[in-house]
Amino acid sequence: MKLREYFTRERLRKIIFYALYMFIALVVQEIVLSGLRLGKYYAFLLPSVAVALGMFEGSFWGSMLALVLGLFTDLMYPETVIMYMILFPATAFTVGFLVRFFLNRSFLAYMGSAFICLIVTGLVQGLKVLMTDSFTIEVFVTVVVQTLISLPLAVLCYFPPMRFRESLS
Amino acid sequence: MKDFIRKNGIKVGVIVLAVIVLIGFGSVARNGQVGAGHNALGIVKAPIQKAVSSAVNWLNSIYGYLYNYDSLLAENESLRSQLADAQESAREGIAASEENRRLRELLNLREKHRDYVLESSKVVLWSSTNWSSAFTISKGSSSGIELGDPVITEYGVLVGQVTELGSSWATVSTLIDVNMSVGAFVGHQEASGMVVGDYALMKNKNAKVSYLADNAQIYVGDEVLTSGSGTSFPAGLVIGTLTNVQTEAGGQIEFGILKPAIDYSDLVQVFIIKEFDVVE
Repeated sequence: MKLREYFTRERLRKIIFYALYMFIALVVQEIVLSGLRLGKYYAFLLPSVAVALGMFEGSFWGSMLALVLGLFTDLMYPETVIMYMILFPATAFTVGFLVRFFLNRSFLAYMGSAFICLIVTGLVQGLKVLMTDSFTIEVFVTVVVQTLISLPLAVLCYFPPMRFRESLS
Repeated sequence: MKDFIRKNGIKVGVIVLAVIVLIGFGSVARNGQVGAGHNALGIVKAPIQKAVSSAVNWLNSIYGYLYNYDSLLAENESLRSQLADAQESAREGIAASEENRRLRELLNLREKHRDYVLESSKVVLWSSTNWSSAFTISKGSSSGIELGDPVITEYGVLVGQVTELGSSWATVSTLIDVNMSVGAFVGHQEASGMVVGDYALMKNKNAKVSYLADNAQIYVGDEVLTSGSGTSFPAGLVIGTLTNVQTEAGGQIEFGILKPAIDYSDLVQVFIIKEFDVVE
């Protein structure tokens, strides 16, 4: 009975929407972007998804959803075990916190957050390489290029949850 | 004039008719050779006939187009479908022929290395990350593949190693991946060293030959083969060639830049060595 009360129609709609949203993002990252390279570099879409989750679902639910996203991202990439399972919920939690007290949910605020998040993600990814490999400037070049080519794709991640939130209110 | 016509009109008419009939007879009477009158008539008539004929043909074609449109459309669809089938068959034929060639090469390799137990697999997807070089293959533990198994091409060229394993899939990290290291012999002198992944070199699809034995001499163009040290890789697999020899920042230690013997972007099918004889 309690379970039925908890899973209201609205909540179920949210779960289905975000499951689909994250599934599409993972498919695009793994299948579409694996075939699209800009020179030697791939775009990284998923940190922007974590930002959108935190922005539109708040700190708690945003980070819960980002945890699922992180889990599948870690499964997708051979070089990581739990990195994205920590990084994405942390991102969503931080963005959710900032939205609660300091930021609004505007496109500009989202893009700013996505930019910072992409830089941080890139640096964490690079740090792992620097820990196992000798120091190379190529790591920082990759961080910058990855961030810049991922930003246009970040735009696409903003509108579905924004429209969904509007449709609920 | 009016009076003249009224009085002699019938006569004039009869005379004109008679002349026409005579001209007509005259033109027929020359064994098929047309007379002047007939000829003149033909000259006048020809362009008109042409124009009328063209117009009729045009109308006929429009009518035919409208009338036959549906049947032509159906025929077109059918032909398109037949063409697509034929193209599909041709593609399948090319793919089968390529696979056949690879398997023939593999047969040669098997004859040379009877100790190898091989499993063939298709490359499914390359990883879309900037931080590693890996791809997924279509076979996993259910085919007897194990973590750490070496992966080669049909020519016996080392591709990489199985680093993740599912029941029906596996991830292969390539030789140039940052986390890879393979024992190697370099050049004719068989200088022992290690092929290790390097991030900066990985972006250019190269790897580093490092940890060379003391007094080892390496040269550009030297072939690099697996040494078989350890139990991960069999000895004698082709890794690549040295394209450059450099010294570390301190100026003491030499290392080589290795270009793998395969172009990873061309990989379609790989072969996993499930078992091989370890030579101590």
